[in-house]
Amino acid sequence: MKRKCLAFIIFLGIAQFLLVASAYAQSSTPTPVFDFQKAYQDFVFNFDKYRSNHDEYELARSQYLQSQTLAAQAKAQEATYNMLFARDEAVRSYLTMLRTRLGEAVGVSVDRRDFLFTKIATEVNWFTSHQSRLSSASSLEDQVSDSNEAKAQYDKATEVLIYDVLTEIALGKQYFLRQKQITIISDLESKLDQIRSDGQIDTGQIERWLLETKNLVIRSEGKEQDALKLQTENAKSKNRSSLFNQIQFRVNESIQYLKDANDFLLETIKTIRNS
Amino acid sequence: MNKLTNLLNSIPAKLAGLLKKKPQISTPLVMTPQVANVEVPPPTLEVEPKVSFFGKINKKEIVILVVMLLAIIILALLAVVFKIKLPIPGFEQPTPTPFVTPIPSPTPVPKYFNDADVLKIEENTNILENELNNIDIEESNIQPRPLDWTINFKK
Repeated sequence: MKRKCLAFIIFLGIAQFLLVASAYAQSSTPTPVFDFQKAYQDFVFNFDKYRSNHDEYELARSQYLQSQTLAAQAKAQEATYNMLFARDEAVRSYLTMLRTRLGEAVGVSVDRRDFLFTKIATEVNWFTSHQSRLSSASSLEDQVSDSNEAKAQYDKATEVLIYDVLTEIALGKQYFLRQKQITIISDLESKLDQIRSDGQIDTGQIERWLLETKNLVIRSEGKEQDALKLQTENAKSKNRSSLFNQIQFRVNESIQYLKDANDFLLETIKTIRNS
Repeated sequence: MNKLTNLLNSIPAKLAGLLKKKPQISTPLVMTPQVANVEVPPPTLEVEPKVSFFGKINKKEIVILVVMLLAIIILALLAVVFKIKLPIPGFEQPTPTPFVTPIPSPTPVPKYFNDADVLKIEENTNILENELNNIDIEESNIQPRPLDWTINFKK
């Protein structure tokens, strides 16, 4: 009986030690952060793998088309499967990378971000599902069909989503900076009210300059509206890359107006300080 | 030649004559008492003492000379050390016109030059300027990469 008690006590002691040790290990090990940099590295790795598999697919395909043997066909099937699998993986990791980038983006409203997050998740799920349906045992015709299915999904939904997210990130940047500028103008107007009430400086000219600065900010907003109008054509567009270039051009114009407005602000502040 | 021989031969005789003459040596300025009927011993022949060059010059003069020489040497050394430019005759240096340094009158600092609010607004504007200049709208690293979507096994 005594031996049993002793053994039980020793068992309890060891169990407690193991529990404490595991708890300590859990608390001391930092949880890996999956941020944009990590997601980007994953995407680059998967894209490189896709390119490598695509080269092998091109080789196997040309050998099969030349020889038309069963061995060449089997090799082509395997190479095609590997390429399709890697392609789906590349799209999945690209969408994941884009999601982390959107998560870190400035000037994007929470609602819009959540909406895009949901759409990204849907697309990732679709490609995960498609990936699971692929098989190396499928015939070449089936593999072509699988590939076409993925292509249709990419053209119909994935690419639209990609350019929507990229547009949102670009527009968010200029929106964020414009809001900063509007805050500065507001602060300067408040200060100008105080200076006017002091009555030591004639603020007439400075007020006119501020008005011109605000006009530039309005023009910047106009360019943002132009970009948003172009974005609505994204879903129907046949050349989304070109459309996105036009959107970027509008955003850059908007930024240029903000730069001009900032130069005006600096000149106005200098005048106030030296008056 | 004969004349020279005669001249040489006559030297001893002339010397003897000279010795017989009363030597014109300055007697020391010692006041001898004039005692009557005291036999004055005959003056002994004294050879003229050799007198050095400095013997003829007063010691004071020598000291003054030495001091003056030393003073000249010291002045010359000082001139070399401090690079004193001696005026070259004929090339008179133009006399510098007196330059009056204008004393800046204290200008009053503008009222809002160091105003905390204005400085803060300026700082924020400068930060925004920096952000506007460094903005990257394109972000080429996140643009979609080309993928091959058209696969087929037809010749």
